[in-house]
Amino acid sequence: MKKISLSMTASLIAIAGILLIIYFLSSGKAVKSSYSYGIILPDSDTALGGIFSSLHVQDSTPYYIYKKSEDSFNSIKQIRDNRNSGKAMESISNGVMGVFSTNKKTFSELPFHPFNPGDTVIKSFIDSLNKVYLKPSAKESEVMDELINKKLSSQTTYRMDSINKELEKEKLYYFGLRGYELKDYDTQFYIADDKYHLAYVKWDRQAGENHNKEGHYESKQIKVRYTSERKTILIPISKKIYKILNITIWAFSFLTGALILYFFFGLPIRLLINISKGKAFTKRNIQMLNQVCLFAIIISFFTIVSPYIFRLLFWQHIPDDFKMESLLNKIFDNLVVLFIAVITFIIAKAFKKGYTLQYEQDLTI
Amino acid sequence: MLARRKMSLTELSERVGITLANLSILKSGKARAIRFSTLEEVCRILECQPGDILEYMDDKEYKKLMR
Repeated sequence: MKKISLSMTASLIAIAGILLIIYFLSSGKAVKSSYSYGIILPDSDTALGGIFSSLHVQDSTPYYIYKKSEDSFNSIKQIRDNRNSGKAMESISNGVMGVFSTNKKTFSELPFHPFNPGDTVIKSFIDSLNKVYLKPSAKESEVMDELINKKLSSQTTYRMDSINKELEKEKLYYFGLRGYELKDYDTQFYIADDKYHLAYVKWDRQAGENHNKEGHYESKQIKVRYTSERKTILIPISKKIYKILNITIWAFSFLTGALILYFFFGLPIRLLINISKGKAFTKRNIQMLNQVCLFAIIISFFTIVSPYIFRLLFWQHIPDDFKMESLLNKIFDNLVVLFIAVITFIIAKAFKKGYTLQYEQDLTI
Repeated sequence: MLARRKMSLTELSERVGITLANLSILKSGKARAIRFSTLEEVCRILECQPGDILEYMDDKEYKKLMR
């Protein structure tokens, strides 16, 4: 009995050690590999959703014009980058999947501007102000200022509300699967005309003695959206399904959270209370420790295995250009939980031995 | 032996210096071990040999007794 538990613990530690070494070796390799090839980028700034566009302004242009073009270029670029990388998305997700929603358009893409002078609401307001007074006294002008401020702020709120309403009208909903990467390092995801595309490298010439490998970008449409920031594939869904999934995932996360609280905080606290009461080596304590260990194993097993199950379920939606994060990465993401499992396993074994000794001791008269 | 000495469990426990609960564990055969000091004391009080209060049984007999 003693030998078995000892060898099990030793082998667990050995496995962890080997995994650690493999991880460091493999990560070292990825950094070292060099890219000696040339890819010709598209000439046009609008090609491939403009992901490769850069600012070209003649040197001779006056500074203010240069600055203005730079600003507008940057703002367009930022909107585009945010959209392509999937920033500013509302989401509820656990480590494996989640639901995401985002506005189809951004603030600056709306057909009207908040303080467009041609806007009828603003125009009538300015007209009404113009009609009012010619030469106000100091006190009167103070009152007027206050009135104007009040009206302006109420107008602003009104405009902001209507803008938000306008934005909310067109929302996009997604079901997200986490832990996906693009297979090829050079492939990029982009959105153009509300459709999802991948820009991938087509190789024209293999590397020879005197020249590097050469290629150019080509584009193809895919059915899903991708966010490189969260490494998530986003499958478009309807609002109804979004709402259902939203509640489901929320409930699921709540349940998991409650279980984690119970097993990783509740039980250890109860264990401490029991020990402080002098009931250290009892069957209940060993049971609690085993439960914590089992829970840690189950939780890490599910986070490691469930992405594969989801991949099987949604294989039709996942383009071939994506691959899953490596198993080792997943294991290392869960290293803390696995470590908890090993530690509680050791402690449970020690408590079991303690329980046997306590039993013998109690029945020795 | 207790009957022969006309002594109650309570009296024995008091004179030996162990609790009644422990003595009944000992008497019923649930005990896993006995300290030499306890054995010595019991023998001294009851004026007997360890053989008079200890008996070997094989597993079958023991289980029968415990039933």
